[in-house]
Amino acid sequence: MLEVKDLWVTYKSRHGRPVTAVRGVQLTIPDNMFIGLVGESGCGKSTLGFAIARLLDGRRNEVTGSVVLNGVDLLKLDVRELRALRWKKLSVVLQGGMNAFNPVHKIQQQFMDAMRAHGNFTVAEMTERIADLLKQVQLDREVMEMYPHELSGGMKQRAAIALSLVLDPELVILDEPTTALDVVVQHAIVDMLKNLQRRLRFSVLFISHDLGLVLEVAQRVVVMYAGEIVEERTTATLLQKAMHPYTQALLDCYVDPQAEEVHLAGIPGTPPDLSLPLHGCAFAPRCAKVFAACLNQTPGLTFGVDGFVQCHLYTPQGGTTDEP
Amino acid sequence: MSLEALQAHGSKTARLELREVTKVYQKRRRTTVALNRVSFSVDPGKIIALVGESGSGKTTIARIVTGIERPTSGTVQLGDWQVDTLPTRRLREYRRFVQMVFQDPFSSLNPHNTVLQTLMRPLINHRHYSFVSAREQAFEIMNTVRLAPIEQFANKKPHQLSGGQRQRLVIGRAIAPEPQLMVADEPVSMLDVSIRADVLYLIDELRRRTGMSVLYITHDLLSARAVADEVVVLYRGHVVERGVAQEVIRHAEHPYTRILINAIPNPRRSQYQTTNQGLEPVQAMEEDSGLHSPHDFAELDGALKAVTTVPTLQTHATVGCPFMQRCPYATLQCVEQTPSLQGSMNHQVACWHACGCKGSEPNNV
Repeated sequence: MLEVKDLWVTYKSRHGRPVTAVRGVQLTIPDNMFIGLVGESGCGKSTLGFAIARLLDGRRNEVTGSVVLNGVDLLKLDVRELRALRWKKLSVVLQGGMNAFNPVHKIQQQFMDAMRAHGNFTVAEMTERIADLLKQVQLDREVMEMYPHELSGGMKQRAAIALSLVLDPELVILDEPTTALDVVVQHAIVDMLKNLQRRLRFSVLFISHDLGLVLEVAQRVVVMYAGEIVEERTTATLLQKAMHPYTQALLDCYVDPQAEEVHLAGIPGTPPDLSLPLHGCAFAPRCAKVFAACLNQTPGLTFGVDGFVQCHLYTPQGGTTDEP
Repeated sequence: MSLEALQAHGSKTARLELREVTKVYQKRRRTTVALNRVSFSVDPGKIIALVGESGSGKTTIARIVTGIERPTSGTVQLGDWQVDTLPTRRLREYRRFVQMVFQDPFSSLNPHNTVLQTLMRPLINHRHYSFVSAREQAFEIMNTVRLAPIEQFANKKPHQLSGGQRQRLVIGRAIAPEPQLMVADEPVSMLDVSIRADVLYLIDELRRRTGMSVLYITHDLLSARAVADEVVVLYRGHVVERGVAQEVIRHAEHPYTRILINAIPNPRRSQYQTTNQGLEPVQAMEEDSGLHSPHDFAELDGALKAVTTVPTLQTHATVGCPFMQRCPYATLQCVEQTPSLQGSMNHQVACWHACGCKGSEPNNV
């Protein structure tokens, strides 16, 4: 189980104002849970993923709060301790991860490098493990003997996912793993990932700008806006009724392509500049349901049966009687 | 560009016509047929969507239409321009009439140039404007593509713009030479879902105002449905289904088109899944793989097999349906005979079993 408490991340810059991309995030990822993290570009979702995985350089960024994985605060570990945890407890698949394979080594070699660096295995053990993993991600065994350029984009991304699972991690963070792929391949990979997670029972933090995609795979959805989590619910209840106006607006971007009339909706405006302090609700300037309190008071969290929402509509000022 | 100028430009529109275009790439002993006798046309002011996965030949068509490559056989005509035999020296002149919008707005703009410089350059190079009049015109284009207020944007460089603003700038640059055809290759697939509509409807508005034709290349049938008049579905260089956008997407007949429709993330569809199984995730995985949605997933599974196996040397059979290896409905007829496009002009499909698989129509949830 991973617990993120009051996490703040600030990118310091020599030239401009510091940018606070994650603002007081609380997040719990239980064991065996597929969590989807969504939001537009520039809302801090990748930064949150990086901070959890300790991928941010402490000299140039300020990270405060705690990220506790099974009782160990990742933010307090030194490099050596961290290395021991990586891949075994927590691994990461990045957006361009499929292009990070070394072009002059066979796929098998690159899996073995990771395994040797983090454990003691015989070659036979490693080969068997790799073959098994490739099978899990629906790749042929021959892929082991191939070079990255011989694989298509979708196959490389499958191999990258397999590589992240090589030492049975408890948590895998995937940052936009399918964004560069076309819809059919994307659908196939996400489907495969979902089955894999349900079978191997690791936890997933799936970061994506595509709410429609996240709703197809995740069990819980976390919606981020301007560095804050504005809504967190189970997929089923979110689909029944999105509470936060931002979540509603994101959901309205999806229409059934076979409907009688198709009109695409967007969300007017842009996310706020995160180098400035925020007053009131960060979404207020773009919100269709904005009222006086939104402009000058920061909304608190309203908890419901299966999650929470950060919106004035559900506080006493909002006057809405709906339970989130 | 003022509205009047844009409307006056309407008279300079042209029709794009591709007839039996074939493109074969030869590499040592390996022959790849990228396009196989592709024919379609785009009338002035219309948007035609070319839809297919990576490797279906969409981008090859874009390269042929823009004169970057020549077809192996077949003809391409834009108004009076015979594109397939165009001498290289006339390409520059031709490009004034054909402009492109690329997928990645981050890499298709020169990072050193300001918004104003980016827009002035095509005006000076292609339309021979003076510096002062190019500046005036660039301001008008900024208004047209909604990069306003002008004072605020004119001197910004690409890195200071958001993804949507950058793509609007690319579109502004493309309309500056008053083209007859815009080739938009996945213009919104790298943008946030929340700003895609904005960019797509800008293209839609511009073609209505200027009468330019648009060749919209995408793998997303939803956006094609939203703005395109017609859809051409490509599979491995073959047109497998084409027709009026609404008709093709609502009543898709080719199994491949239906795979593309199924692959679109659609929360309304997953609602069905999650209420059924989302809350108890770890129940028998064997069941899980087959039982995703009320849609006909048999065909999707067929598709997945082909995507995940190691690519073998592409042996293009000269007979038979190009889709047969991935098709769940394939029969002996599909192996022995190549289907051709059949149907009315509003909706044509190249499939021996187009009517057969209609029986299991994807139901609308």
